[in-house]
Amino acid sequence: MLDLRTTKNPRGLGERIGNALTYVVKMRYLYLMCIPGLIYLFIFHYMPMYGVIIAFKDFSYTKGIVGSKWLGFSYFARVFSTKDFFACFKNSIVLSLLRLAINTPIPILLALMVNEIGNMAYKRIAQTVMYLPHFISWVAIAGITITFLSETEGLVNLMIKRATGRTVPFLSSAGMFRGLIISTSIWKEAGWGTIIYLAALSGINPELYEAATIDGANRFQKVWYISLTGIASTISILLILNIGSIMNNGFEQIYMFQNPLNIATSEVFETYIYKVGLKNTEFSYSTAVGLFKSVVNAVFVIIANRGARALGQATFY
Amino acid sequence: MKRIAVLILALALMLTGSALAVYDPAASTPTMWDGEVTTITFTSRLPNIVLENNPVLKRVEEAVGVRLEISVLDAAQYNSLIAVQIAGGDVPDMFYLWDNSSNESFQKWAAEGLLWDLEELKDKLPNAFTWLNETDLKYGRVSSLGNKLYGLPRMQQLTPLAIPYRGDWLEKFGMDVPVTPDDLYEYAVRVSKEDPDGNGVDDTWGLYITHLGDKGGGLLDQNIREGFGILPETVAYKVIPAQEGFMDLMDWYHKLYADGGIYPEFYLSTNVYEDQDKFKAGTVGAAFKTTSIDHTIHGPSSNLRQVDPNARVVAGYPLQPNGTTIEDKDNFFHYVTPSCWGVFCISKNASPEAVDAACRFLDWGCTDEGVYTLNFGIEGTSFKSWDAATRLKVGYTKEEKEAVPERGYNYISYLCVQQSWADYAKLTFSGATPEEAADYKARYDFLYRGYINYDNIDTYPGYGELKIANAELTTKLNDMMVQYICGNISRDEFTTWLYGEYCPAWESVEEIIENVQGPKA
Repeated sequence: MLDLRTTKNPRGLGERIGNALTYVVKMRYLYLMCIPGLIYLFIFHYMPMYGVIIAFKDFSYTKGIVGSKWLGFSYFARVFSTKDFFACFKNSIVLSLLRLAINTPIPILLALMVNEIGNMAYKRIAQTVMYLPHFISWVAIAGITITFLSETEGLVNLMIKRATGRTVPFLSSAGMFRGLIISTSIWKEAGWGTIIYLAALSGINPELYEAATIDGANRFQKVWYISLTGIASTISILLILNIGSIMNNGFEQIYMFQNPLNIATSEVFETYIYKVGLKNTEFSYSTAVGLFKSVVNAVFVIIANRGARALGQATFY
Repeated sequence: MKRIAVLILALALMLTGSALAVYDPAASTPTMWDGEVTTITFTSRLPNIVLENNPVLKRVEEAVGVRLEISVLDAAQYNSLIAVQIAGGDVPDMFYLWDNSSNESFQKWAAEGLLWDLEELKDKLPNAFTWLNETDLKYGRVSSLGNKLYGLPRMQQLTPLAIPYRGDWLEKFGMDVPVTPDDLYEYAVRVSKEDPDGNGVDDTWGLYITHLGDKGGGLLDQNIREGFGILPETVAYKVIPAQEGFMDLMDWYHKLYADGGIYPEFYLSTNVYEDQDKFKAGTVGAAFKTTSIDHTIHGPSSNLRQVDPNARVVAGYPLQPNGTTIEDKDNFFHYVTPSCWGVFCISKNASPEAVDAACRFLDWGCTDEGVYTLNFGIEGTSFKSWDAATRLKVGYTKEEKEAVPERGYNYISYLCVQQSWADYAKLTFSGATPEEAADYKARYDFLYRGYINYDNIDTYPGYGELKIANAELTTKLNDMMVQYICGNISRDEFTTWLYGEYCPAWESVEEIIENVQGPKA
């Protein structure tokens, strides 16, 4: 992709546009391949965006989104005056920060480890095994997890009980909920998350490794100074993307593991919006909550982007 | 005891005979439509319906000239999905709503002029207005809109709920069917501790309760709460958690849970039928919430027998306060109200032809022929599970079992709207053996011999609005009850929230009831 900020010798706007057009014509087949994706984004991500206006309206079934009466910020006032809202906010942000801190480095470590495997057959098998959980739905994963961790009939607790005489309330403890969510999401997504890093690693010039070997670098030094440095820009971009979804914890996973005994830590925006918005059909109110969440995400993207730029890393703009 | 059982069985046999007096399709001339056929869109909650070559839908077309273009939404989240469908502008000509007048969407749609006031269509619905009495129609009215009728209720005259127990385990313990909370407590703890299935593994539990659903789900099941003197709102003039017996019930659960009598992870339930699944798997001794005996005995009891060939299911009574004995049977009390299983609405956006067609369909559904066809199907074509002589089938062949889902048309129409149809309803949950059938029927008759009829508060003006305003508190009550029962919060924490936040929010219930019934005597 052409980065207009780094185009060499930009003499003026006209020339820069000319350069850009020349580049687009030259890469026309790549741009053509983007079209289905752009259409998809436009239809499913941009067109529905006008719907957020119902957060400021008293939604009417007969008048629709556009025809409904404007209400201003009254739903937002209600959002901020609800006691449960702040508990949701806290739960959402704590869980997201934990995900960011724990789930982000794991695919990087996994990718670096896979990259070090010399035996190609073993490497392929390892990659396939790591990718597989990504294709299992959260419903199935929750079922498997509950079967293993249940205090009544779960294999893990049966073994713990035999060893210690006690069981561990993995599924019913508010204190253990976050650990449960983090560990299951690592199991499901860490392998899949290595794909981009492995692609970035494969783009590193092998001559750098050869040169480092000649210079006497050991394996760890090669990983640290070549592999990790080589994928730093990818890490930066993905980190910004992850920070951009800091308030998103995903509905399915949380909902499947939520129960009355862990509700103190398991109620996040997604489950709250589902209960209030869909079950109680308060579309305007739940849109207001969702919009607040998106604004917070956008603010975090801007902050992260600026932070990355200040550190000299790759940024979006 | 034996004499009572014989008397009950005799009564049951008499009632079986009386069922023969109701609608007989073989002796009736089928209605035939000679005009044009109109296609209407119909969104409904029809689990298991087979849309292709459906003989009942074909019969509807022949009888009233209505071709139903049915959209089926996921039953588990039906109300949410139809609200989203309608919010998206896709309003079907006719739709079913799995709820009634206290549903927020229903009230909003009515207020916004999206629904027909069905009294304006009264001329097109003569049978419906004859079949449904004023008490039934209250479920389709919206009090905030001048009590107009925006939905045609699908009524069930008597809810055939009972507590299913493992008869073989009771026998093993030398116990009678539990009558009081103390009886059930003893049975539940013994099932959990004494390994009644004799496999040497600690894998049986006294009872399973689901916490899901409105008003506390199975935790506040009427069959249980009556044992603690908790009465319906319209009798006590208070919501259930504000009544004196509520904390007694919670303490009972709390102690029973601590003593191991309740399935330890009942709070992991993800659907309201989970109690039945556990019961059928042979791991629990009793189950609550939607575990009407028909769900448990009809067909599925054979599932139980696959797990344990000696398994036997018996239907239990609603619990009675401690101290009551079986000999006090004339003093047994059980409050029963006609229950509404949703409403049918007609869209104002529908064309005049579609409105006429929807009315023809709904009205035919309120005739003997319509009720029979829509609830049970067409004998010899869509079902074969009725014994022609007794109309009581005791054991199904493989083919008949496979045909059972095809009989699931009752979400189109009304179930046992009139008392006489209750006999038909009883026959549909006849058990897998003659003994089970007779046992069930005997208890059913015992149960409904002296029941007290009461008004359902859902139909009282103003209650729907209050329920909507307190929806989040209702969800929280379920969570708090589970937390107290499992020992995650103390009694003080629970009662502080209950009497500090929950009950004050429902104080106006008394006024709502007084407005209808007058001051409490």
